[in-house]
Amino acid sequence: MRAYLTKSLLLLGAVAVAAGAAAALGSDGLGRGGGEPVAAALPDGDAPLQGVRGTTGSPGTSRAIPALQGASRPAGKVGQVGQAGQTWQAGLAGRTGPGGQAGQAGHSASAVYARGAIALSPPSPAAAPRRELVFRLRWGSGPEELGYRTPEEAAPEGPMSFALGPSGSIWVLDQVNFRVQVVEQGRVARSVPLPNDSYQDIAVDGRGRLAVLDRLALRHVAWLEGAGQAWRFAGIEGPGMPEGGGATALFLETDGAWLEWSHQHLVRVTDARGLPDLARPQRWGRMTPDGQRLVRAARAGSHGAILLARDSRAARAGVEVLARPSFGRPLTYLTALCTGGAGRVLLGAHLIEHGSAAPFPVIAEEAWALVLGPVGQEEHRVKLPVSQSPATPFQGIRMAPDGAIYHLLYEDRGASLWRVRP
Amino acid sequence: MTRLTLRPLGFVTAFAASLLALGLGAEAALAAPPAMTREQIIDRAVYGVGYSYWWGHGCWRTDGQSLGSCSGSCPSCTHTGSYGADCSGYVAKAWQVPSEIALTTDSHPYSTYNFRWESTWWSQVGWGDAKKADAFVYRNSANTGGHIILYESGDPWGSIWAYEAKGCSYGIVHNLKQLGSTYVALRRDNLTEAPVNGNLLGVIFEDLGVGVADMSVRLPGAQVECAGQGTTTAGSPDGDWSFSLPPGSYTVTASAAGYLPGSRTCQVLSGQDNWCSIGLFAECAPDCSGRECGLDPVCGQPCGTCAQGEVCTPAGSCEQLTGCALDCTGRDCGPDPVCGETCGVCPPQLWCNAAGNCEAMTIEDAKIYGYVVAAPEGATGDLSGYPVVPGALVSLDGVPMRESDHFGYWELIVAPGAYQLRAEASGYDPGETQCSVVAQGFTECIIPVYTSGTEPPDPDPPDPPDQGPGALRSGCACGAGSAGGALGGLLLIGMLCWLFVRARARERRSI
Repeated sequence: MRAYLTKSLLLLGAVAVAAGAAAALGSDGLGRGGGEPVAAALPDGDAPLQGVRGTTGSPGTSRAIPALQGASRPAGKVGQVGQAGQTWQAGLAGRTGPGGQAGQAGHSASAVYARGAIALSPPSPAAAPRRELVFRLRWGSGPEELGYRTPEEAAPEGPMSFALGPSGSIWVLDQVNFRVQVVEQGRVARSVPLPNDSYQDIAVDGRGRLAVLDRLALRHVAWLEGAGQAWRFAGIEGPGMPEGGGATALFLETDGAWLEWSHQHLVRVTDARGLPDLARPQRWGRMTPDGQRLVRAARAGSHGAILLARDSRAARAGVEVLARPSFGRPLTYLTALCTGGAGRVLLGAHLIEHGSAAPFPVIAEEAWALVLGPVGQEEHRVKLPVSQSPATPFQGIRMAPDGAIYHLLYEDRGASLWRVRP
Repeated sequence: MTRLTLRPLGFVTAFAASLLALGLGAEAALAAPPAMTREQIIDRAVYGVGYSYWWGHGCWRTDGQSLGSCSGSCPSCTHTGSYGADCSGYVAKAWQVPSEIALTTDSHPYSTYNFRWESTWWSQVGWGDAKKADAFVYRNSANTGGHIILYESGDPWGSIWAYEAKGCSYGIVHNLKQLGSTYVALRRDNLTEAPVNGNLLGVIFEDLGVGVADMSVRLPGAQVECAGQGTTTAGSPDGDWSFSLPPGSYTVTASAAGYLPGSRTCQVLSGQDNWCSIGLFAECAPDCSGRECGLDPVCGQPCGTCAQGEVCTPAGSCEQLTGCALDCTGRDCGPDPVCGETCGVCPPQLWCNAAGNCEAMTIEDAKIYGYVVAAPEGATGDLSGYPVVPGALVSLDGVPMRESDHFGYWELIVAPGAYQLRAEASGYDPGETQCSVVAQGFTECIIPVYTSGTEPPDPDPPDPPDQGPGALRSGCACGAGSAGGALGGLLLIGMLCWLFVRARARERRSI
């Protein structure tokens, strides 16, 4: 019986996907996998982004899964089936938010219902996500430039990461030029010299404290308390971090600097002053800003991902499946997992579809950012432009507390940073 | 020193390199790369980690000495020392192409141009088919830049654990990274795929009574022993462990202070992650208070034995048995082979096997157990206060499985799932209930039979009707009705029933 119900739901989902596919493709008008022409075609000002909200076409559907423990599961309903020619939002919902609705202001979608229901509803008439250019800097080593290298017989690299600083500043890790470029109002306002050119991640906080991670050469976190202060260094390898090359993210919190191991647990490597933390406490996943939950993500199957959450305060808390978003193409790797205000979680996904026979040509390549609400419901699904550079940033996507998505893009002649307001 | 460096720096040099490669191919055809396993390639690569980046070279040692150093921006960089490699020299040496060569002998037979655009000793494979010791290479269209890495494995995000000579500032490293679609995947020729290890891995957790359905309490620091293979310690904070093993069957035993040891036998398939998580029950203090016999209900430890001719009640008291000489020798539970009376009841987390001993459930099994009680028509809610009914036939999803014992008790080992349970007993109307159970879990189900008519039966009959001494009471009855008779028949029926239940459980698992 259970299997029958599951099959039925999948069938309904497939119908929804099929119904939405034509409209979604029609509205996108995408060429090679929707890959937006990079750089040359991008205007410097505002430009509409090819974004969809939970569209059921090429990007697939998102399924919020019931929590394993403690979920509220009031009786649900099945939304009405749409008409031809409309773009539909579909979700296999699992947990309800307050009132059993998505519960996000300005968002009319009713994708979240009780366990097992497929909800279909027309998208909100609200405007599509807008993309704004925050800055564009040319490649080079000058004051207003960013370093980029594609050496012969070595790894190509550009600015490996960036951080959102106080007062709207953007801190770009320009490690190729041994510096951090602090960008304000679209211009480089100042630079912070770095001790080496092998740093791969950066974090700043509201007090202007800066931390950078070198996971391969020096294998330390370098910590700068403020302008005019000396760097402090803390080795990163030890309990919870067996080798520096496995570090996948740096977080700067009030109690010190935390590193993530292989997109799994975190370990604190410095105390609040940037000195080595001998205790090296660990936590299960990335912390939400309110300190309530820890989250992790992973690929699940060839076309999907899974988002897990756990109560941060209970020692014996169970792990709940927050969402299982799926995509219309193979998910090659996840690119981001950010937690923001109002319990939002951003998940970045990079999709590459190859031909099935040699020389295995790239049929399509897409980058997506999914914004999920506090109970795993998909709020937005935004398509991002794909860089054609052989270099890949260590952290190329961030989310601001207000939910805005920042995306670092390598272009032919330089790097640009874009802000997407869903 | 053997140096066959092809380093095209532009179109013209690329053309020249191709011509050179033709000559090299003729030479290399005489010295084909040796047959290697993927593990042998990675073993060679591991030795290189920590050595310096050395543009146009490829050699390192196995003792981690004389790492060398690199400064500046390559190719105009400065290298000191006698060991190191650039990315293509590193992969060629790990791959042992075009021919077998010592790690310490400097060589640089191919550039990324050769790896990307030729297929001398390798061929392109699909991204999704890349396996350990395959490579990913890119070469830019201007033919001025290229990079190649060795693939080891993936991580939860799909990032790549890679070995690479990354650059002058980094040297040769092992790290997680993500690649753009400009890279293509390559596989070396002459790989021997036999036998590739698989990963046997899992977590150690406290079994909270529901098996793997709740693994939230992890036990980092637990000792994990794979019989005949070695011992490791469950990691922190997830209690995770792993062994890399040739394909086969392995028994893994976990132990931790304050917990009872637990074991599982799991299969390892080549080149795969094979999960084998183990749940441990917290050590418990036996509670024999108020009991003179049977097993304590907490830990399953013996509380004593009854005298000859007595039977142990589920409450742990000895009760006189008339007409049959009970023999529970070597048995802790289930029916005795002489009288068919119960020898005891296992604690909920264990089940009673055919030999009459309590046994831990496997991870695929679950236990449903309980009592048949005589309830008034229409009774709902908690039925545990009603008198028990011995000799009632218990059916599972319409299939008769066994009779309740002298104390109305019965238990079944089943596959995890939901079941319809029915009890029938002479003089009562049949009753039903639904119960579900998760893997390695246990669920108590009270099945009612209903008093009918104007003459309710004796709520606590001393003996079930139509069953004299020697009748089967606590054993299994695969067919309807009871089985009486000789000891051999009892044993045969009990064994057949046990096999039936196990087979049914397996059948359910396979659905």
